[in-house]
Amino acid sequence: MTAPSASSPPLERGTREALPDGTGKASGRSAASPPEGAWALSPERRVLRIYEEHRDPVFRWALRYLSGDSAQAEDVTHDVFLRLLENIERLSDDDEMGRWLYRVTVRTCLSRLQRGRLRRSLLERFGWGFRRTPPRAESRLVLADVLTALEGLPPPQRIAFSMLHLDGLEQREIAEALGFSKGYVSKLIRKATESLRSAGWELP
Amino acid sequence: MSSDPPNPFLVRLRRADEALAAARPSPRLDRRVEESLARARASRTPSPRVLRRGLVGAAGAAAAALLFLVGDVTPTHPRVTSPEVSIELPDGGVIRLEEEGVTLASIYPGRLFRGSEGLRVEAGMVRFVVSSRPHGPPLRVHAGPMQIEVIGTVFTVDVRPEGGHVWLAEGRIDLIDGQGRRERLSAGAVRGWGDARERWPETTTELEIGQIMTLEQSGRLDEARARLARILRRPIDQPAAEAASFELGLLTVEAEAKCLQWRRHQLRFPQGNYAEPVEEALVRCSEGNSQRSRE
Repeated sequence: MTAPSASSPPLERGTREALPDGTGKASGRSAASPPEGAWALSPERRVLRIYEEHRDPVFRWALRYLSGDSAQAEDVTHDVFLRLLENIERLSDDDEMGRWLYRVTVRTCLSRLQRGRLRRSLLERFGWGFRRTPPRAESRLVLADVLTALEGLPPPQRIAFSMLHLDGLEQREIAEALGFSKGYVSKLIRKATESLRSAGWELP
Repeated sequence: MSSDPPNPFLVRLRRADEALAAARPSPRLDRRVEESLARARASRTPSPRVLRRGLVGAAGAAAAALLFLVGDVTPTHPRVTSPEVSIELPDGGVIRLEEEGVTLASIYPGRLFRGSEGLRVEAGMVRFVVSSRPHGPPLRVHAGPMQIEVIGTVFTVDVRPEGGHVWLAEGRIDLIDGQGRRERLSAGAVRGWGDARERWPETTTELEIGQIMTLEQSGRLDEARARLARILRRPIDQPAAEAASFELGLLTVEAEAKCLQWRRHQLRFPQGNYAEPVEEALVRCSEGNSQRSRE
């Protein structure tokens, strides 16, 4: 993956990765910035058009941060576009839209991972047996050992580590996307690296 | 990144990530999103369906909660000026005001006053489900320094001595502040006053839920519950409020208090993400009540 510049919106990077031919973001008029009377579209119609264009990268990001759990990644994708509906009137251009979708996706994943972790510990303790859909078989990989290692990290460490090493973001960009301070992000990544090392993985 | 050393872990991680890239969402996701957007569009133009959906949730809660039918707040003649009356709603209380065409459900014990100028929420957290009234005058609801004009919608008002907030679930309302400034709110909007004037940042809430998780893991359950309860009285977005409410239900150990929290959750988020497990929990609550009453 090419290291992104600070000015490059995360959406472009994600889209480039998500497209099978690796050619990058689709050209042509964007649903996110409709210039020709498209403001007359209802908010729901605008969101639907943006969804059609950006569904795959958003799903892809969610899948990445949720370690391949496709059912949860679909839930996150759904929630992100409903959140977009609440904010559609203040979002206009492509650049802002890409950053916004990326930021909301990682935050939604983080929130979901934190709640899932809390819930599991509570259910084990109090035994209120809520049903949970297990990850689909095809989402598990031959290379699952590294994903399992990541799953063992606390959610903020796991997300920050993935953003650094998979999205290629700088710590400042991670801090901005997650709403954390740069110092806290640095601490998260350091702790994640230490935890993985102590689990037997060699890391720089 | 090309500048990274060829570290075995990172190489494997990127290969795993590339393998994940082949996955595509199922067609079911498209249908879910389209249906949710269609529902959102329908709720922007309040119709009798909006009321029915709200009432289905309220009715479900009422199965486990007490249903208060207060005769003296339902005038027999619709043209008679509304009598001035105080309305007390205990936890989980539900009441229908026929003349105003509004169903009230209290999430935290509510106290209201009905006078010639409309309804005033004096204390508590109350969910309003208002019938569509395209040709009639708007319903006026007063809460702290705010005045709310309603055509037909679903919203929640929280009033405490220190402040409060209004959260709109469906439809639209006009909010008039103490200086007479009018603002039209759309679904999902939240506005506060007093100590809840500033909208609580989503990130702060998520961070706090993370801290609460740490408290729980170290066995400090009382503190965790108290902090979740405080979060629930803030002007925050629905997803964060819903998550906090659900976690509070999980964290509550004592059976009666736990069931009360599930009822509150269902009243406040009748169509929420956790509707199904909360419904299951309430069924267990009613089964537990039956068993206790047999004993």
